[in-house]
Amino acid sequence: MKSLSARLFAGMTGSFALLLIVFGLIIDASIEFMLIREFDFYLETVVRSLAGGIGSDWRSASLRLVPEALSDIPRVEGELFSQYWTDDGTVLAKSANLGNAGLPRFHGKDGRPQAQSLVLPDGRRARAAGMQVSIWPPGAVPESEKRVTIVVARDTSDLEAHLRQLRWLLLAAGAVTMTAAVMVSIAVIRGSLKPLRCAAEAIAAIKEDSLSARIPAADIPEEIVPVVDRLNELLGRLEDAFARERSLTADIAHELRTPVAGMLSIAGVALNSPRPPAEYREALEDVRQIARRMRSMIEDLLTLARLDSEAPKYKFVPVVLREALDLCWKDFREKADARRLTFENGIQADTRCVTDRNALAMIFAILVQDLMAEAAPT
Amino acid sequence: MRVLLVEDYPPLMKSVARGLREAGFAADVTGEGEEALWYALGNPYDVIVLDLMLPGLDGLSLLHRLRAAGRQTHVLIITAKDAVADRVAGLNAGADDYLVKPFEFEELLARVQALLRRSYIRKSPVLAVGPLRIDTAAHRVWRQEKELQFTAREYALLEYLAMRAGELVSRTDIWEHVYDFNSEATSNVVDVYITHLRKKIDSPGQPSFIETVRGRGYLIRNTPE
Repeated sequence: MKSLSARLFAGMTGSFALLLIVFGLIIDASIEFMLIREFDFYLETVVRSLAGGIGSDWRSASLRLVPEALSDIPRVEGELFSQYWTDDGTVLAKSANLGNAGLPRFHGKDGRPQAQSLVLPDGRRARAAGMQVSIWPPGAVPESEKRVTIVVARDTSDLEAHLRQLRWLLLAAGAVTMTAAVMVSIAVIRGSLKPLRCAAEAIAAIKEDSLSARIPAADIPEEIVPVVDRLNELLGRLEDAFARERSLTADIAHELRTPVAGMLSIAGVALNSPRPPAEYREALEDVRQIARRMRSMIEDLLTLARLDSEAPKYKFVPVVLREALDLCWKDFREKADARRLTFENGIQADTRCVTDRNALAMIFAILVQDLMAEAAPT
Repeated sequence: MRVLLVEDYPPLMKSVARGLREAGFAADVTGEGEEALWYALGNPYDVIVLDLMLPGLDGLSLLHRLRAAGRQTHVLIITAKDAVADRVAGLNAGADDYLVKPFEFEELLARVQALLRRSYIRKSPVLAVGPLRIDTAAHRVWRQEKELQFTAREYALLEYLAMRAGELVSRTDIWEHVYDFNSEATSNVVDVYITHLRKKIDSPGQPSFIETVRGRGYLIRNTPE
């Protein structure tokens, strides 16, 4: 994913979606926990109430069963079931809605009720609270203590329906929130990236002929300012490089135009009227001399181009400086004669140095050219 | 017509000068700016062909100083500088025309001739003087329907007199406009060429087309024969 806006969008919406899911799960779990706790609290209340109704002279017939025995407890949705056991597991009583089936026997410790999930005989899911009650028949010794276990179960289908509704509600709220978050993210990202788009448009508008333009940093966010500054510096360097290239191209064009003009002029004049072969020969010789100088110039330019593009490869050999300068002067002799400039090579005949012959020739040529430009005729 | 060629590239200087001379111009040449200024101020050139990049005094400075000295000589700039700013600078400095290198010699010649016509207030390259018709572009001369043949120097002399038809032209004028520094400086060289011209253009038994005004010069009357 290369787009910054796509990355930001994916990051923001992904993070938000993840947070929303975690938050939804926590809410769902919290509400489920609280509802079940409230559900269990009701069951515990019922089981405590049933336990409180067991007299010391208890008989099976006197045991109260839900839902009939709920006159003192608020009625709630969901079917209730109850069952009593003695210590040895003998069923003392059970509510009629259990039919031939029964509830699992369990209880809490120390006379406290305990709640747990179970599956009713008809396959429905339910919550149940179990509690053990100690009973002493009248006149009985402590050793004759009887324990009765009471389990009250309540069908949880209503609870589950409520939880399902709640989850759909959470899902819908999450979807709406997510949609809103996506829209807000898009708006925020667009707004935040607008300076970048403006900068990109400003960069796109910069062409070869408008390198003096700079990217305005006025509305750019602080984090992007260093990038814009570096870009502007780069533009400055590019502008300089283009200017140097234009200047070099103009210089090269100038250096080449004059000899080409010379060749054209020589050929034009030679062909202007019939003339003796010697004059044609002279013209051709002049053209050849110019072409040779141009070839040398082009080779120098190619050398410069190579020096620009790769590390120079010098071939160091012993060079007699006086001879090297004399050789260089040959190319300038005619021009110097035309300007009545004299040349005197003052280098000692035996002065040598170890250098690259071509590089030295180029240096001498530049020096001689500059000196000739400044020299006054003798 | 006399032209000063200022160009520091010897092969170009040599070939252009040769071409101009073969076209009948008296051409003085130099590759030095200072020397060119000295020539231009000291001689009545009809046209100066001026390179801009010269050693010493550059072409534009030379032109400025020439105009500052009140010289109205037509100047054709020849240069490798082809930018609009360079052309504008050259023309604003007082040049009459601007030719970018490389150029064909024929174009240079045509522009020099156009400047010459401007010097003598003529639009057409064909001069009609008396019975003569002179094509200054092709360097051809007709008397009525018959084409006459001239040497380059004879043609240059005839063209100069024809350009100034109706005016008295002194020997000094002829010398200054038709001969360059390399010409042999004999006292009667103008008279010799006038005699050659008369032989070629005059009709037998008729008064000469080129009239001698004793002690003052020569005159071609601009009246049909």
